[in-house]
This record gives sequence, structure tokens and C-alpha cells, in this order.
Amino acid sequence: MSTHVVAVMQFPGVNCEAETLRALARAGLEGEVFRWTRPASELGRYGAFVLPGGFSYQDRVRAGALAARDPLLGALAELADEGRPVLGICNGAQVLVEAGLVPGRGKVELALARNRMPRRSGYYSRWVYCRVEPSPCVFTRALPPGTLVPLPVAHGEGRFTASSRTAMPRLLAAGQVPLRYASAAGELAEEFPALPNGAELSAAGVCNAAGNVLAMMPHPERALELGALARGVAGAWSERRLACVQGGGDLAREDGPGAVFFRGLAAHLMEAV
Amino acid sequence: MTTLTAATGAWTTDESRDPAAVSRALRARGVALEAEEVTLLERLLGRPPRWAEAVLFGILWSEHCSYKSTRHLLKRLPTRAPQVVIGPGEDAGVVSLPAPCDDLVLVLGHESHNHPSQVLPVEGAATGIGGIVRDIVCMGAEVVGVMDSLRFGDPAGSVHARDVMRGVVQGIADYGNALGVPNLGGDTVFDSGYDTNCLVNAMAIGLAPADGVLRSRVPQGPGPWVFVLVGKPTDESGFGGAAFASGELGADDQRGAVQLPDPFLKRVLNVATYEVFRRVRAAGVPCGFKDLGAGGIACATSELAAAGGCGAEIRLDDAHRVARPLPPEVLLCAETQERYCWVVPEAFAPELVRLYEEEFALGQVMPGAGARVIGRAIPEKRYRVEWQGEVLVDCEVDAITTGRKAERPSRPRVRAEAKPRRRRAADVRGALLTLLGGEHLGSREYLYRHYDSEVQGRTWLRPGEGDAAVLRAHPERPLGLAFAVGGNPHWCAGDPDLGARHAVAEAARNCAVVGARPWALTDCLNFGHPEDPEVMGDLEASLDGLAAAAHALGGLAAPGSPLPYVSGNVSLYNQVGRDAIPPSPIVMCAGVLDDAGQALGLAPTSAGHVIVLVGEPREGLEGSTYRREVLRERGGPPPPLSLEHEARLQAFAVEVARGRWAAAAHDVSDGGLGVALAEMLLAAAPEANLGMDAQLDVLGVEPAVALFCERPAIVYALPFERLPRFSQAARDHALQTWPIGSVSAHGQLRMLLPGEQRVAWTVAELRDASQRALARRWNEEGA
Repeated sequence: MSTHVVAVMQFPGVNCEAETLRALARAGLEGEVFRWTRPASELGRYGAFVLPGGFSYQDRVRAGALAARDPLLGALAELADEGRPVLGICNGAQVLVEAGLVPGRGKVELALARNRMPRRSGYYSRWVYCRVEPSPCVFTRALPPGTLVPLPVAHGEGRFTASSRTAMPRLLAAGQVPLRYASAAGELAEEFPALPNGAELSAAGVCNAAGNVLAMMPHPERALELGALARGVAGAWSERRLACVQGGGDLAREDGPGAVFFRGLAAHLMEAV
Repeated sequence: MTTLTAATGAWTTDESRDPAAVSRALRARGVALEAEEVTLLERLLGRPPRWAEAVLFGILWSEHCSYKSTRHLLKRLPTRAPQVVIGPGEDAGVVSLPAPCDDLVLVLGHESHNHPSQVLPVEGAATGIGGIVRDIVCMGAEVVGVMDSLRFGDPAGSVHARDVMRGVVQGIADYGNALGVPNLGGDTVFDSGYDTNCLVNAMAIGLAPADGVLRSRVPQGPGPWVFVLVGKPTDESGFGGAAFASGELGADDQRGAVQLPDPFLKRVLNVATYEVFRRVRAAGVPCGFKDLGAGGIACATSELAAAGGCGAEIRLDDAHRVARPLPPEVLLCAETQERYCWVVPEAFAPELVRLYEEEFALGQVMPGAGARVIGRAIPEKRYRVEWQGEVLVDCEVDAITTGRKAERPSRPRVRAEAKPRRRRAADVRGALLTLLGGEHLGSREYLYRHYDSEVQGRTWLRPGEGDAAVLRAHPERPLGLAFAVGGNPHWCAGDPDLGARHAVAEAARNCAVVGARPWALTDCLNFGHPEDPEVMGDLEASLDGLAAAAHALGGLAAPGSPLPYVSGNVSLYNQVGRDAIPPSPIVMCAGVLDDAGQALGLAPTSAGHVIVLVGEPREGLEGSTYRREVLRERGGPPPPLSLEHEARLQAFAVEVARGRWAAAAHDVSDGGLGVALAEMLLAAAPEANLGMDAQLDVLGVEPAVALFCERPAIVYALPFERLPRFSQAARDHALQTWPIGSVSAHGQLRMLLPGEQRVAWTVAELRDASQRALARRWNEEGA
């Protein structure tokens, strides 16, 4: 097993492979596209896995539903049980939820339902703020709870919802909701557009109990450099950008808000060696 | 004319003594050949054509494919400059990039999908994106962005105009989002002139290695060369699409002529094709590549052969296709989407087929999709197609490339004089809210939030954040690429020459405002019937304006050279009965920034920054949205435009961004200074609570002129300490500047107007007005 090689899972219709590879490289990790036509037995050689965004299998039935039934996901579930990190972004998150890897008690407890938005429907893209919550999640644990991370969302089915009323509060209490939508001031987002999809408990990301499998709807791989920060973002990140511009700094070299998730993965893999 | 099989004669020598009657009979069977073309075709072949040949030539000689009304006129546009690698004539244009990206080339394409989008808005717009994307890919490039210029009917006028708007936006979103290509914006205009003919212009942008550009031709050398058809199984969809786009929309159901989109298959097809690019480059395999569009297999294979100076033998039986039986002329000419055609050495074909069919398992992605060898190149310059042992097409390749030219008389249109402006006390407060709250100048956010503008992770300035969108050309290099569009139909209706000049100036200025040097242009000429001399008069005047502006604005890319047109399209017959659309030249400008980090957005960043207006003095309200939407006056000419001044203004704008002197910049055009200042505030984070205090009394004109004059200018916000350098640069470029106020932290736009008049708006109130317009139209039901 090559600890530092991360597989970027390519199902047909996935479309964020390139920027996901760049995100891993930025964090010092080697990434490799793993195409769906390869045998599942070859998955074992990778130290971690990213399921990138896109429209796997054309979103047939429901977003993520078909990829979740791919034999590759069965193999991936076993490796996740061993503790190998798995990050699902957007469509990748939908796959992990449909496959039951998140929240991960061997059955499907959650769904990513159609966005609920006033006076509009379907796909919606914008930058939002995510607040870090206390969690054992390997991708966010370097961030103190309360940290605000501005990130872009772009999806039509991103509303975390549970089959039972008690499920989400239980997950939150267990530290399995590491990311929640918030306002620029850090208050929990309860209304559109700060809450872009109507998710229960404003959940933007949910992980398994061990914290090594994270399903998140926002796209950190689109916010790797400080220069990529949306101009309408307020607060500390926009001040950081301004200072860099005025000081003649390099907006490509400075990390954007999304890089931290991949750096968290890199730190975890280094520790595991 | 009773025989209906593909291999038998379309007409007899007896019948062709009356070519007009043959033309009418063909038209009744869906083939559009004019009477003189009936005669020409029989002369070229030395016999009456077979039915499949008549179908093929009907497509080749359609307006859509042959540009027969305009090809000779398009020579007026400048197409040469040092940065041009491949100009108009191929599927897309190619320009070089400056260091450190001189090992890359930028590929630009521009297409219209107007007729299909009017008939089936979702599918029409989606296949518009799909088609232009294929044009980029077939040059050997990876697609990094799409844009769209949309022209819709009056949304207040009919539910149909709103349905078209909703459908087109849905189609663009469904296709582009799934394909994984960021949408970089564009523009949207509403006018009752588009009630029966919407416009959907799609532009696409690609990047390729400078030494990896592919050409659509059989390569030189002994080969042997084979044709490999890849992608979706051929079906009947889009059969007759070229003829459909070359005539007036009729009462008949024409939905069958619209192609069917499949972005999911296209994503896999493109990823597999990019892998082919890498392999043929690594192994040095010579090849030709072309997308399948109008005319399907027949046009793609015959044009590949003709461009390579050879002939071709196609075995239609070998093409993968849907299971249901279809007439061979349909298989030969249908516009089934998501297909490409390779020409490769016979020895490489098995690897190529295996890559698509096994490594990327196209047949699992979509039943019937795959890659098949369908024919070979032959040294003899003949084009032959066989089907089940019968010859369907057999002609000289030169017959295929025989250009058609239709002489279309033109005359200048006599324009109605603008009615003199009624004097009335201007309520500028209400006027600004009216303008921002209407669909003409209201925020486009409601629409572009349907689009993914960030996939691929290259986008540094998104729609709504700046006057142009900005991408990074390469993840490890600073070079930025900017893209913007221009084309104001109200101005083009008032004066097509001057309106076209403005279209180019606006697109180039939008690039310059963010800090990019205008680098190359694409265009589409969207007009009515070419048989109408006044339509042709408008078209010729537009071409003159497009040429004049391009000649004046190329200096920032290459001193002394024009800004080159590298790709373009002509869409005629956007007319029903007597109602032609307004003259609608639409221009895209690509620009380059030395450093994407210099890209100036339009949102002010800090209270205390000074606001400075640079450009033409505020004089006159010609062509202004204020006159149309507030005073309700129609017609009249656009604002004057000095191209010499415009060139200096754009050079200044690039210098400002390069010096990092300013924090924000915005073009003053539609809506004038009042709308520009409001839009700047609306682009800032609401939580920052920024406002502006503007002293417009210094402009020395009446309030309405100060706020709503649309003469070219740029408004900047910058730190006070940068003002001396900034002002000196403006003087160096002989530009006038007016410091007009400062950015505040009180969340209001406050103005001091001439005559001690004070007026104020809260930014929240401006935001409500601006966001309401399109959300309301989108959700409106009923007539």
C-alpha cells in the first residue's frame, strides 16, 4: 500500500477530477484517477480516496444512486472500515450517503434531497459560509470549532435529510456534522441563500462516527488559492485577500479556504505512517 | 418523382428541363435546392443526382453551411494579426498566448442556435452548447469555458417569451453543468423584436498545446488512412437541421429537426478523446479530427477528404447505429449529437477503437455508443458512399467543395428620426429604481445561479463579479484569460454601423476594465431574411462597423495590427413574415492579463476609497436606457463613439490594473453612471455595509444626464494615495477624469446633484429592486 497515493474515483459523468488532483498535489499528496472500468481488487493499494463532484451515471434514479451500487463502492466500504480516509464532494457526497458509508452504520439513514429554495428550483450555485463544528473528522480536525470557511456550492440535490426526526440531532451530538452553513457573522444559517438548500440542521457536511469518511456538499477543490476567493465574500478571508493584493503578494501561492481539507488529509496520512 | 430509395435518381433529365418545378418537388420532400442549384448539381455530376446526393447537396448548399449570401461580404472583417494561428474557416479559431504560456494556444468558437431554441428551448439551447464545444474539441483542445448571448422577446408581453427564457436557461444549465465546463456569463437582452425569434449565441473557449493543434483533414503521407466514427449511435435526430436553420420558422411542426442532447455521454466521450490527444501526441501519430454537425457523416467525411486533397470511400453499413431501421440517406446526413470522426493510420485504428470501447466503455455508458472504422481515404479525388452493395453517393470531391454564392441586393434602411425629447422634471430617484427594477438592467443573478461557473477550478472572476470573467490559463503560471461579450440591439437598430462599433468597443472595454489586453474577437451576425434588401443593408453596415472598431482596438495585443476576428457565424432568416429581428451582431472578446491576480472586480472593498470617473464627458442621452424605459421614447441613434478615444481609454484601463492602483472598476454603459455606481455597491458583500457619497454637481450637467448618459467611460474606486499616479496616467493618455466622491461605510448611495439637489438610496433598497425583476418574470404564470 502506498500511503500517499490517493485515488480519485472516476465514475462515468464525474467532472471534477482535474481540480481534485490539483488539490491533492497542493497538499503534497499524489493523486491518481481510478476509472470505473478497473477491477475493485486494485483499490487496496491506495491510502485514501476522493469521490469528486459531477453527475455520475447521469444522476439516474437519484444523484449518486447508481454509483453507490457499483461493486467499487463495496470494496471502498471495506477499506473505509479499516480507517482509510474517504472524502466525497458534492456528487461524491451523494454517492457516500446513498451507499450508507455516511453516516455509516451499515444502512442508509440519510438522503441528499432536492434543494428547497424560495421562488426557484433545481441547480443553484453560489459561495456560502460553512462553520466548523466539534468533530473527530480527519478533514476538519485542524480547524477550531467556530472557524468560518467560505466555499462554493453548486448542486440541485444537496439537502441533507434523515429518515427519522432524531437522526440529525443525534449525529450532531456525536460530532458527525463537522460543517454547517452559517452567516458571514458565524451564526447558523436558517434562511436562503445563506442556507442554500434547506438542509436539516443546516448541515453542509456529515461524517461517519470514526471521522474518516466525510460527505460534503461544498466544493473545497474550487477554492484552493486565495485568488479564487469570490469577491462578494465578507470577513477575515476577504481581508486576507486584500492584504495580499495591496502588499504585492502572490494570490496563487497563498492558500484559499478550500485547501485546508486536503492539508488535513495529508497530515492524517503522515501521522498514520 | 415517385421513386423514394436513396440510390435511385432524385429527378430525371426530362424533369430537370423545368428546374423550378424540380426545386418545388424537392422542397415538398424536405430537400432545399434552389432552381439554379438543381441545374448546377446536374451539371457537376454529369447526370441527375441520386436521392442521397440530392439530400447531401441540399445540406452543403444551405445558407447554414455555405454562407452563400454572406461569404463574400465577410472578407471585410480583419482576420490577420501576429497572434493569429488559425483564422476563420476551420471549426474554431486559434490564437497564440504570450509568455509564460507561449507553449499553449487559445481556441475560440462562436455559434448560433437560434431556430432550434425558439422551437424547443431546452434541447435547442443545450445542443447549441454541445455543438460549439465539439468545434473546440475537434481542434485538439480541452474546453475550459462557455458563454452565451441571449436575446428574448418581451417577457411582459407573452407567456411564450417567458417559456423560451426559462427553457433556454435550463438547457444551458443542464448541458454545461453536466459536461463540466464552466459558464463564464455573457449577456441577456429583452425586446419585443425577438418575440418570434429568440437568439441563443453560444461561445466556447479551449486550450491546447501549441504543437498539438489538430486539423480537420486527412493528413499528408501514404497512410493508409481510415475514418473512425466515435460516439453516439447514429439515429434520425436533427435530420434536416441545416435546412431548417436556413429558412423561416413555419407553422409546421419542426421539432424533429432539433437535435437531442446527451451531456452525460459527451462528458465521457470528451474525457476519452482528451486521452486520445495525449496518446497521439506522445507517439507522434498523425491524424485528422472533425466533429459531426450539420450534414452528419456525409459532410464530416467528405470535408475531411476534400481538405486533405484526396478522396474517400465510406461503408455506411459499418457505422454503429440505433437498432430500428432507418433510410440510408438519414443515417448519412442526420445530425445525431455527441459524435466525432477521426482520420488515423490504419495501423493505429485498433488501439483507438479499443480506447473508446474498452478503456472508457462507451457502450456501457450508452447502449450502442462506440467507435467504428467506417471507410478509408483514397488518392483518387472521388467521394463514394456504399450501403448494402449499392452506391448512394459517387461524385468528384471538387463538387462537394464547390462554393455557392447568392447575390443579395442591399440598400440602406431609412431610419425614423428620433422624436425630440419631452421636457419634464426628472425624478432621478425614482428613475434609478425603475431602471434597476426592470428586466433590462435588473440583476442577471437569478439566471446565472443556474450555471456552474467554477468547475475545473480555474475561475478567478465569476459572472457578476467583474465586467469580464477571468480564468487562469495554467495552474502554475500567472497568466489570466478574460472573456466578455457586446451587442446592444437597440443601438444596432438605431444605426447598424455605429451599433456594431459599440458592440466591439464594449466587449473589448469589458476585458480592459478587468485589466486584460483585448486579444481576439469572435462574432455572429444574427439577421432576418437575406432576400430583403434592407436586411442586407443592415448586415453590410454592421460588417463595416465591426471592421472599423476592430481596426482601431488591436494595438494592445500587437501595435499596428487590428483586433482579429478568428471565428464567426452567420444566422439569417431570424424573421417571421415581415417581423425581422433587430440587426444583431454579437461579439465576444478574449483578453489576456499578465497576472490573473490583477483582475479588477467591480465591488468596492474599503470605505474611504475615492471614486473617479474616466472617459467621455457626460453629455446627451442618445440611445440611453433611461430614454427607452423611463421616458418611454423609442428609436434614435446610439451615443457617439470615438474609436481613437476608446483605444486610449482601454490602454489606460490595462495600465491601472497592471499597476494595482485601483480596488474596483466598472464600465459605464447600459444605464449610465447611476446604474454603474449602484451595480458596484450591489457586488460588494452586504455584510460590509459599504455605500457611496457622490458629488455629481462637478459634472456640470442636468441630473438625468449626469446619471443616465451612456457615453463610454469607466468608474474606479481607489485608495487616495494612489490618486496622483492614477491621474497622471490618465493625463498621459489624454483622458479626462472627474473625482466624484468616495466609498462610505453607511450602506447608502448618496448623491449631490447640480442645483444643490440631494438624493439618497439605501443599498438594501437598490438590491431589492435589482433582484426582483427577473425573479418575478421567471415565476410569472399565465399570459
